[in-house]
Amino acid sequence: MNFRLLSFFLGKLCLTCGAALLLPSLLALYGDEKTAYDFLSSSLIAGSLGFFFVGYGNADGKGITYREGVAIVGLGWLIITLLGSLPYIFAGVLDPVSAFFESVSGFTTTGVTAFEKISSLPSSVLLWQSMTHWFGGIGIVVVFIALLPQVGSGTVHMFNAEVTGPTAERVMPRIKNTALVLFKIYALFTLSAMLLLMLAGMSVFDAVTHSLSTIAAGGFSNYDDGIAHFNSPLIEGIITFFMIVAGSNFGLYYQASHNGLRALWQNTEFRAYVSIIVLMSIAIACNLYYNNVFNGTNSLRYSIFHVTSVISTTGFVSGDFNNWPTFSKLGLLFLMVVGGCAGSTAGGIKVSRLVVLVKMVFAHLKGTFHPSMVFDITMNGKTVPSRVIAGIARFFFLYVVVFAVLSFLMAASGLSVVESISIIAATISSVGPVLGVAEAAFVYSEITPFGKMVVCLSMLLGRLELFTLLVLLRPEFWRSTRYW
Amino acid sequence: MNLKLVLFVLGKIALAFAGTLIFPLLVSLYYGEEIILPYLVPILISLLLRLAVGKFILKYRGRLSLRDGLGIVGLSWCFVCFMGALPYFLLGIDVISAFFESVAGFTTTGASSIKSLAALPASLLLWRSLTQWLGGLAIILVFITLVPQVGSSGERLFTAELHGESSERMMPRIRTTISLLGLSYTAVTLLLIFCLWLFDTSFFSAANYAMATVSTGGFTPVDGGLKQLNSPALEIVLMIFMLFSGGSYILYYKVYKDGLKSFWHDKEFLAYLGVILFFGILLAINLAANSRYEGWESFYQGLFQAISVITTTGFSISDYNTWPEFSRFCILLMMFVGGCAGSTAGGIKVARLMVLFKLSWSELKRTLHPHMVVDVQMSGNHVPSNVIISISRFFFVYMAVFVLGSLLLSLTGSLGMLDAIGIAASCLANIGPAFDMVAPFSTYADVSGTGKLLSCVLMIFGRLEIFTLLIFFSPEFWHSRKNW
Repeated sequence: MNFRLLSFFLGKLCLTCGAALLLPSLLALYGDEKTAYDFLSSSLIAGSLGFFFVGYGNADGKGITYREGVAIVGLGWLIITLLGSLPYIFAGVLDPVSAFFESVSGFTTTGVTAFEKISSLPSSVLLWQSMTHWFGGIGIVVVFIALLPQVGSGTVHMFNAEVTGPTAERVMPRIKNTALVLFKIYALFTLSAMLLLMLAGMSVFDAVTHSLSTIAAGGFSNYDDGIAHFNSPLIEGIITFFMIVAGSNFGLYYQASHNGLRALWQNTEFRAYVSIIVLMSIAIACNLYYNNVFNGTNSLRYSIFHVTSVISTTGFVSGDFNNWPTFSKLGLLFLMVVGGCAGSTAGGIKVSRLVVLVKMVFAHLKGTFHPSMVFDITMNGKTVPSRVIAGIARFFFLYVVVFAVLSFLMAASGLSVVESISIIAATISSVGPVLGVAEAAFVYSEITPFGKMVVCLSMLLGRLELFTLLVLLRPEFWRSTRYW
Repeated sequence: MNLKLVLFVLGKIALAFAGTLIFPLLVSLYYGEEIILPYLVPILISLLLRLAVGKFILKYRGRLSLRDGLGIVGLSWCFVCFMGALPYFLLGIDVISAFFESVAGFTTTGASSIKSLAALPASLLLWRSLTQWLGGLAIILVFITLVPQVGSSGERLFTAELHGESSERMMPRIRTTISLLGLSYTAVTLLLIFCLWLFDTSFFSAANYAMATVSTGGFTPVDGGLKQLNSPALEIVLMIFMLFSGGSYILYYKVYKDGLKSFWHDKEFLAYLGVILFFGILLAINLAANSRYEGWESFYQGLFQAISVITTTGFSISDYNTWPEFSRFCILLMMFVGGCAGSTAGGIKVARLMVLFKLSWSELKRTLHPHMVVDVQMSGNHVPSNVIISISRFFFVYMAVFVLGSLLLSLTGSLGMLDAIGIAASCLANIGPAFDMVAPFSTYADVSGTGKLLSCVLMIFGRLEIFTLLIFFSPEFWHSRKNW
């Protein structure tokens, strides 16, 4: 492990974080809020920590290897989330554990809040909440690679460790360019969402925060009752559209902009993703309608909104679930675990992994009767190597195990069976609110500090797709000796 | 498919089936219940079938192909489940409940939908237990000896491979192996009947309990089950025999050949004991911490429940549904574990989970050393990669069937979330009781008709280890034309 290199990159990350913290402090100064100095001092701490790390660190020498890439991403996330919790502590709005919880929930784009009343918070804090979403959404390291000049060779390892999905696809030959393209698309979608939301009648500030958290598939809202506050089908429609966008592969949009929209439909994962949304929306709408929860149009309106909100792992809420039938609740619960597409801002197992797994099962059923037949599992017309397939199957198992262990810990902290399962489902896939189990805010404020730490772990493990964090726990990882 | 061969075997099974139905008939005559027709009708139908088949095919010698093997397994399960339901039906139980009872028996699940057992004649109670015993026997004989030979490439070697028995070694002596396994199964049952009989239960109830225990079924001949007997000595005897029945018969065969040290060499058996002890202690701590029971009583209760759930028997001595939430969560987790491969227990099986855990562990190592060659071993034997793939595939399909099953269950009637999840997990693992609505000591009587049928499907899925059943749904199975 090249600790100097590690320190250099972590320092740069801290500096970026410090710069980002200046934005809400400017807003606070402008709005004459007393939180301005809390943000300034957090920014100062992040900045000086950054200078300290960079000072110790050393960028030249050997490039980044796999180990450093994973360590930078894993530790980077830990440091950034810790720094991000400082403003909440300084402003005195949350205790340290809850502040960390809030910060992790922001950066992992989960969007659960430890606040009991959001609407009474100063606007600078609200802006910081949405900003954490936005930076975490596409990945802090991706943002970092895209924005900073000269990051040296081997950034691919950093990129791979953070980008979600079974294989990190590169849309451009160079990682720096790939990150930049992804970042540009990300920013473009955010801006257009902002404009459309403003046109639909949101105030400027609401439009900014909501677009930031929609494109990041986050889920923080300025209001206690979330999107239901606006009670406007138009706003719900716009947000639904951008949630679908956020849950899909950003690299794919680059292809679509070059090869036409056909590229979208030719993508196996995107097709499966859209089909799941359509099928589940219809199923849940029927279920709601036949159980007399809503009338026809409202059933469709609420089912589409919540299905997209859950599968894109955004977690916006536009109604209450108290009298929803079991099928709808359970359906949403399982959709949480499915998650969006690879290379998106969404969490979860990812559609592409599930598609490969299902294809594997069908190939096996066919193969039973033709033992010597060679089967090809394809995605987008290309063969998936058997090494990747085995990796996906292993990932699925590990995901289920981590899920079981975390919900086991939640149950140990005193929650009920259904609560612990749904909280872990909602946080490991970075959805956020526990739709349908109880009032989301009620459940999360009930959690003990131990439970909150478990939830933080669940959010981080889910966002970094297990291996990046789990590998850090191995002592062997930190030993510098090489075996070959 | 070789219809002649399949019918020939089916005829034999029908004959054996008719033979076992004589037992309840005799009991009925002995107690003077005057119930003759309900048993005579299925006996006559089976004999007729045997005669009809025998008219065409007197003797058949030929090779059993995969298709034939699956055909035999599928058809005989259908035949036995329907015929087994006849006595219940002819005694005035509605069609669906009769079928449910029969399936629950033959799959050794032990879920009952009969509200009051006291109203049933003794001969029918005996038939209930007998169906379980037969189901268990079928698993021991067919799934340990026959299916591994005809199963598709991956599953073929699974059970034998894990115990270091190559199929070449078992095959020439298959007749001896089968009769040895059958004999030991019967001997264990007789031994248990004797033990139970010693502890002042009536011979009739001893026989019923013994058959339900050895087959890891879980039917009890009285309402209120073991709570009614309230005899610690008896419970301890049952615990020991449940523990035995959840272990592998192939291992016992090895112990018989090579002596007791085989126990020590078999890692699966050790892990199986370890898991039971682990959960038993967890339950005990939780129960004691909530001052549910005093001192050793909580350990006793916890251990009993851990054994009962992990061996997928489903006996209870107290209603775990009223236990603290953490205990309930542990029980839900245990439902997925299941017993050892090569036993009558259901579930995922300890051996599969061990392989998957070892695989994930080596994957963590391999992320650091991408070119490392991973060798997964069980009890010192190398596990071939096609077995590993088939195990991870099995795990995925198991979870997928669980998710789909609980979603479909949630559509039927008034099941809550935990009800739906619990019934799906419990039926799939052939345990029986679950939570809330179908807690221990209550029955499936309140589950709607569709719910019962769905549970039947899940039970059969679980029993036939999913793929055997899935293959029947694949169009390939029904094409008789060979492609090459």
